[in-house]
Amino acid sequence: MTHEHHNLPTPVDKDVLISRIVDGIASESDWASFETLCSQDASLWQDLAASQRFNQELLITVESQLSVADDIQLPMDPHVLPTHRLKMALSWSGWAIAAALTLTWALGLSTGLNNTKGNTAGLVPTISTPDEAFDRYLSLGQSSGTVINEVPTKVLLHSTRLPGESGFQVIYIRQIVERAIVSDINLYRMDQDETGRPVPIRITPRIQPVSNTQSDSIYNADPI
Amino acid sequence: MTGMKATDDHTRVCRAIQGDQQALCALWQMHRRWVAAILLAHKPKQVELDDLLQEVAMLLVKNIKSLKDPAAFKGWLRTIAINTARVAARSPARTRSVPLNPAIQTQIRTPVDQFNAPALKEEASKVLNLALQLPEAYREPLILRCVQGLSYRRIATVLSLPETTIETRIARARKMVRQMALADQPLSQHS
Repeated sequence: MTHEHHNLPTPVDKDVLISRIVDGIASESDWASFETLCSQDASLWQDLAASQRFNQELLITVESQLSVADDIQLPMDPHVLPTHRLKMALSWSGWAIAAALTLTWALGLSTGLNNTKGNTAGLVPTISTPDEAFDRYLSLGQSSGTVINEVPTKVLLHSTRLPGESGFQVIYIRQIVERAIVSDINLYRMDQDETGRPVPIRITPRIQPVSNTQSDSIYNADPI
Repeated sequence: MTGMKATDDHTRVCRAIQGDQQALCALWQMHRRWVAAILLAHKPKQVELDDLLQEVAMLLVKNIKSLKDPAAFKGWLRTIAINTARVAARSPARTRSVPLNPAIQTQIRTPVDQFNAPALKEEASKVLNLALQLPEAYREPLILRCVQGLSYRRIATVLSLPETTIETRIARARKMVRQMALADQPLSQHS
């Protein structure tokens, strides 16, 4: 870096001089000023050494922290952003779970799950594993428009090391984004009032563009 | 920053406002490091930096067309970053989503992985913690100064302050960190 301090008034503050030396931008006159100050107070050399050391550590630590930035790409379609999908998944998680259960149950009936005696005559693929059932649910849901997609990241709930260091058992949530059309949005959840009695709370999904001052809350919850 | 680079930056901002996605991507790649530094200076401890940076990236894409003055781009982006960090601080609970794909996990960068000795690593983390305890006016320029290639002049542009003020604040911030670190007994034992 070149000298960046030509307009500063003189004499320069000793901390500014130390800072310039730490940055490697001190001029000859800066060094001369600093040495003059040190001849009156030798502890300034110790201040300089300590500043050099802490600055070096800070540089490496911050640089290491900021390295995650290189992995963050700009999402170019705001409608399918990961965060947007996550918020959608969270806001509609109740619907998604109910729908997933219903669809899986329906698929189970129609595709022969729990019914191995039925003759599919090769028209409907036999589903024999949970993964196959899930893939079928996704593809059917997407073709019918009720399923948008699965959120790529999974929410980790718990992990346990398996005996013999053979790995970990992880318990996690898979998130599915679904689409539903409702005519009258009046959703309720149970909460407690100030006396501890159960009380229904109306939840109105708030749909608004994201702004700089947005709240992370995606609900307006009004006690009835 | 040279005049040529500043002009390039201004042109990219203008093009990005008009919907040029390539220009917007180039802008993001140029500025995301210092945006991360702003987030680091303002975010609550428990929130992951990459989560917030992703949020800022999303807001940039969504709102770039609303930017009226291309010259105000850096200040505007800084405001978005600060607001994002503040919203995160107000949120009572944030769930950390963990990618379970092993291929992805191996790509996760480990912070402070450039230190070989554990004691040095610990001390470096302490210095960062001390820096993050500084008043905002000193914390922000000091953290920005740690971004590679970010001169006093560019920091002054981002923070909309005179260059001399930036230099003074960084000097004061370094002095405060030094005094706090030397007053901290476990840290000074390594001296």
